[in-house]
Amino acid sequence: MLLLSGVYIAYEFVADPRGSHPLGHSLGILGTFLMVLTELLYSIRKRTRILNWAGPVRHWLSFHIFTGLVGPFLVVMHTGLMFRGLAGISMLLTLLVVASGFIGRYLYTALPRALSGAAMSRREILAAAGRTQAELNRFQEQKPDQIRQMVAQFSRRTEHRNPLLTLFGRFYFNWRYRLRLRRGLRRLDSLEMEGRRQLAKMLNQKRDLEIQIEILEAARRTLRYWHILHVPIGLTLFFSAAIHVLATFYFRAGFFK
Amino acid sequence: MKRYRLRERQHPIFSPVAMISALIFMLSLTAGIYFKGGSAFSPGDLSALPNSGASLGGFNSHLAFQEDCSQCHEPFHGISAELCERCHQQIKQQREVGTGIHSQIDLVEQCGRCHRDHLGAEADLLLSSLPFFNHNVTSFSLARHSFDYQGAAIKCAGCHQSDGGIELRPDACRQCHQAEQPKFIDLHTTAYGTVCIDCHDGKDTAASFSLSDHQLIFPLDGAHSEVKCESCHQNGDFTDLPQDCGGCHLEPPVHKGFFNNDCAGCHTTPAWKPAVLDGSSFDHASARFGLIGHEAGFDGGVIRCDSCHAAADLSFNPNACLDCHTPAQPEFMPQHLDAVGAACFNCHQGNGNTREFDHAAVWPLQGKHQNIACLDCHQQPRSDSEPRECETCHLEPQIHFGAFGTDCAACHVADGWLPAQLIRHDFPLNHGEGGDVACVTCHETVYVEYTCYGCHEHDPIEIADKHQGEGIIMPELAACVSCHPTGTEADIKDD
Repeated sequence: MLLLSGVYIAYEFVADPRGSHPLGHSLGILGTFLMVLTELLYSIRKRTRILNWAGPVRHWLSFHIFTGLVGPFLVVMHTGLMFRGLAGISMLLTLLVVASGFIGRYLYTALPRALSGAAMSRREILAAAGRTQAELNRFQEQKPDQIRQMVAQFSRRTEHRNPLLTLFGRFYFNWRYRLRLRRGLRRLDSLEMEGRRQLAKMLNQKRDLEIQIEILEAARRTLRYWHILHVPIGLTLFFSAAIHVLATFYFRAGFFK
Repeated sequence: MKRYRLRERQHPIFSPVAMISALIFMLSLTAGIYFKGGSAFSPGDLSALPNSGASLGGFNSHLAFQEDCSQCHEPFHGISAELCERCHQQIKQQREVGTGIHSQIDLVEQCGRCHRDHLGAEADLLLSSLPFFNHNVTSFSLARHSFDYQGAAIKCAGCHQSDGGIELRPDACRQCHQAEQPKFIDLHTTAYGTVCIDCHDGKDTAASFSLSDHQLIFPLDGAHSEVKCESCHQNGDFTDLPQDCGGCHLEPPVHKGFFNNDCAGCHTTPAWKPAVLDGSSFDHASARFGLIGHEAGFDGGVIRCDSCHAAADLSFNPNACLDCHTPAQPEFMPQHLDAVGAACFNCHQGNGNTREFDHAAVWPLQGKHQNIACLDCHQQPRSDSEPRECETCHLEPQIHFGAFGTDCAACHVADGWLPAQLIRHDFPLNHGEGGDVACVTCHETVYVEYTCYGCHEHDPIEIADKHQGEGIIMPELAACVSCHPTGTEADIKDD
């Protein structure tokens, strides 16, 4: 995007790259093409078996994010930052879809995934949490009280926190927890370095699973609502873009003069 | 622990809520487009500037039909000249008859290629078309006018009206060129006028053409340095001018066809004359014969070089003088030849001293002098100092040798020596009171001497004393008539 911005700014010194200008029009066509790819290919890979041979879904998600960022950016450059009429509405919808995509990606990462990328069920999460707890119990056996107390301290969860707050603030809460844990482990002089690292890993894993259990339902519900917002806006965007393209042919604008 | 109900995840696109939401959005958008009309697709306002202030097709400006795209856009065919010319009839007529700028432009029927609208109400469709305008379709190319003398790009307003018109400013050319070439432009505009584009098409090299460049093409030295431009460059023609002398200078009739066309072989640019012949400055007079009096023949025509000289070696034709003078002077020439011969140059140098010669003005040939041969007097050719006194040709006869003096004309005339008579006697012969006095009264022995004491009772001593008192000395005292021409005492000449 930085490269594109540089090219665009450099070009602006020698010409006025309006939407109807050959360069501006090219940006619009390419950007729209990438946006179509953004929706089309990822959806085909994710929801059908046609492209099962073409690698895991997470790679397609990366490509989906790439095209989802570069495509709209090209479209914004195509507008020449002019907001007017149907083209302006299309641009606004583009920005909304992109912003919505960012939020969707954030919600998507809230759902625990197996190594394959498939979403884990509540049962699977609870089982994983039980395994982690058993492992932790084995670790603190025969250990001094100082270690037991610390495990107890860092195993406590905040009660009655709104799952939505946990969902959207989880990165902050995690950062704060890990900071506290690091300080606590630093004071734990009765445990060697390897033991501290092992303990930290188990506590972090236990906490992540507990949070995922807490926010699982909220994340699924929010993601459902997000889809209800993101998908209609996206469809409306393509609808307005289609009219815009049709109008370009109708009025013989841009390349079609 | 709270039990969560696991539900099948609903398809995000084909979920009823999403589809209904999308449908609502799209219907809203469609309704907005419907109510906004064409402006929903307009990338910008149309120009509000009127075309020359006149209403065309019922509209004062494009802004007047802002909502009606069909005024300019034909569905799937875009902007066409046919639509534009429904209002712009003048352009249509110009294109049809092949006049005006628009008839010279390629793809002119695609009006929108140059006149781009939707750039805002303040946009000027005329000015905004200039970047796409090929100036070469006009009578003036910008081939040599992209940059000014300082190397800066020349903008449209540098030459054209900047207040919205495209007319050439009358002082546009002069404003720029005058500052750089003040003297030349003054001379040039004086000679050729100030409407530069009448002559210049912008393609010529005059912009960088200097006097030194002219020297490479045609040196402006000598008299050529004083010549005005328009003397050679007539009618604004600065190309293909002849560079040989004959291109501007007519060969003078006097040697037309006599020499070759290599004028510079004899002539130099400071002046035609003197010419150079064989490496030396040539003047015909230096060849022992000037051409004064030979500018034209007896018939008034030009005396050409080959009238006297052979073209091959410039040698003089010995019969040249006679060939011309004999027919023209049939009476004079035979006798002249008989008298002085045919060696004309022995007497004539072509300096104009004989052609208008009037012998009477110098020495009248009267009486018997009319019949004498020239050489009787002019025995030394080429002499203009022949004596004019009688005694140089006529010996004084013995009969009055020494008695009457040599003022022959006092008694003789040119018709004959005899009869002689006193024709002229300045002193009054009736001096005194007794009528004409006898000759011997004054001339006691010879007529070339006189005395006043023959009848006067003057005493020479007394007269001498008296005159000496006036400062008159003796040698002058004998020449009484010198001071007393009439013999009277009162009539005294001062000198």
